Amino acid sequence: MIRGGRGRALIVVAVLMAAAAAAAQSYGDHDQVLRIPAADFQGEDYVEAWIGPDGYAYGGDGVDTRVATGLLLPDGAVVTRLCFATRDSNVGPPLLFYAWIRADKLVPGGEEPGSKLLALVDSSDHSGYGSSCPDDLAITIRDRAHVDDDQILDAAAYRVGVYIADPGTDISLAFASVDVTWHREVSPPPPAPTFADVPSDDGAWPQVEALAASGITAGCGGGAFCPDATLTRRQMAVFLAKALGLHWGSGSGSGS
Amino acid sequence: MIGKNGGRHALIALATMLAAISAGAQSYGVLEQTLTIGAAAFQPAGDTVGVLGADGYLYDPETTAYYFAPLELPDGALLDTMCLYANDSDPLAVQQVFAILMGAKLVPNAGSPFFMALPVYSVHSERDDGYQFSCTDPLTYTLRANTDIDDDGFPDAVAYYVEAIVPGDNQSFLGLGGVQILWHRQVSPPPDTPTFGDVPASDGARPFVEAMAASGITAGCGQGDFCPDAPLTRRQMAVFLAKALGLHWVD
Repeated sequence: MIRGGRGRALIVVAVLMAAAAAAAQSYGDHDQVLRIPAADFQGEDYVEAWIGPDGYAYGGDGVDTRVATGLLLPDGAVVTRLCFATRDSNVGPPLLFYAWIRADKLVPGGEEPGSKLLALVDSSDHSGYGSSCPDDLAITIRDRAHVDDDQILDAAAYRVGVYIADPGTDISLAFASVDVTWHREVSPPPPAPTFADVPSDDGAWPQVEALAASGITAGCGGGAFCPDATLTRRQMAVFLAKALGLHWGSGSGSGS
Repeated sequence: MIGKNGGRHALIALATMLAAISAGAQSYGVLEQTLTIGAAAFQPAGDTVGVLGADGYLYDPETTAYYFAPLELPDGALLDTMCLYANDSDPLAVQQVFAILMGAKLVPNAGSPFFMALPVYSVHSERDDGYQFSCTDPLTYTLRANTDIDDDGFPDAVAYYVEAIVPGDNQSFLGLGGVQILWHRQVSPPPDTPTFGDVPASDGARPFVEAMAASGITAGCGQGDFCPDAPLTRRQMAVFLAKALGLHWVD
């Protein structure tokens, strides 16, 4: 949250919170939550939200407030839920107050920028502190995606944002965080099997194809994967080390 | 209060310090992948603030604005290319949008902070060419969390980030769309001396076995051996995977 004279101190807050938001995510295919605190959002059009004593970011000051930040998830991640932790103490007519996820198209030569709304959650105009969590989303995050409708894959960047309508001098609308619930997914298999001995009716076909497509295995030779062969400990070491890019721990190393 | 430049540098140091404890959420395997850092993921450094326009690009600083974004990639990642999405519609064709790969040394008890552009790893927009996309030449730079970045003979804690420069024009002629980093994972080089008696330097799988041992996933099968040709049981598979990934912390 950065604006004019308060810039320096607020940048410190922002980067502190950004570090919390960018925490490493865990493994497996279970649901996990990326929590993006209010302080990690940046204002659009010079308008900023202000952090209150309750840690919530307030709109107001006689203007609409729009803030956003990048949504950094791995290629293929599936977003299923968008939770919006809010304080809505507005006593007048209901005011627009929502969080959203958008895909932005990064533009190569000759095209116009584009943006697509993927999800929107309203504060539900409840009184006081609360949260709204629609859980019917199924957004697959892809580095290359159809952001516009021109049949050409676009380089996509994803954004999470919050809109707080001007409540006038009544400081009554605030949010604490946006939680994005997501899980990892094994990529869909290609149209044709890569290995003759792992046909498309093999229950492990998608997983074997994903391993091959990630450069972790090239099979056992002759266009086969040998799915039923016993794995040696040496082979396991190769699979795991390649899969995870092991091991660049502390200690000296050259930069190039 | 520190001066403008000093302020900017101090904040970059802070930001990169924090970047060092954050981590990227990227996919696995050893093939090339893309880290996309959209404009909204950049933070301004210093007193000038841009505007995120309706097209999602950052515009309009009153004076030249510096933005930064941490490079959230794992230790040992190899950088292949950096590409810049920009809008450069300046009819005077005098200024350009830049993106530069930077490394910053985090300073322990003594010494001075230090930050530098990684050699030749910058890219800029083509003047007055509208929305556009340009990339660096192929890079081969391995990101290391600990490396001697200032060449003084001591390894430093290093944080990497992308700095973007949007010249001030107040006319929405120059905008930053985002940066894409193409990179891939690497398996670390093996140590000079083999760890296990039965996985000698001549074993083609030695780098992988060494990487697993160095990661604490395996200590071998006893007596300084790894038993590379022993079949893997499902029990061992479970131990390896769970240790490797830190499974499974869910409510």
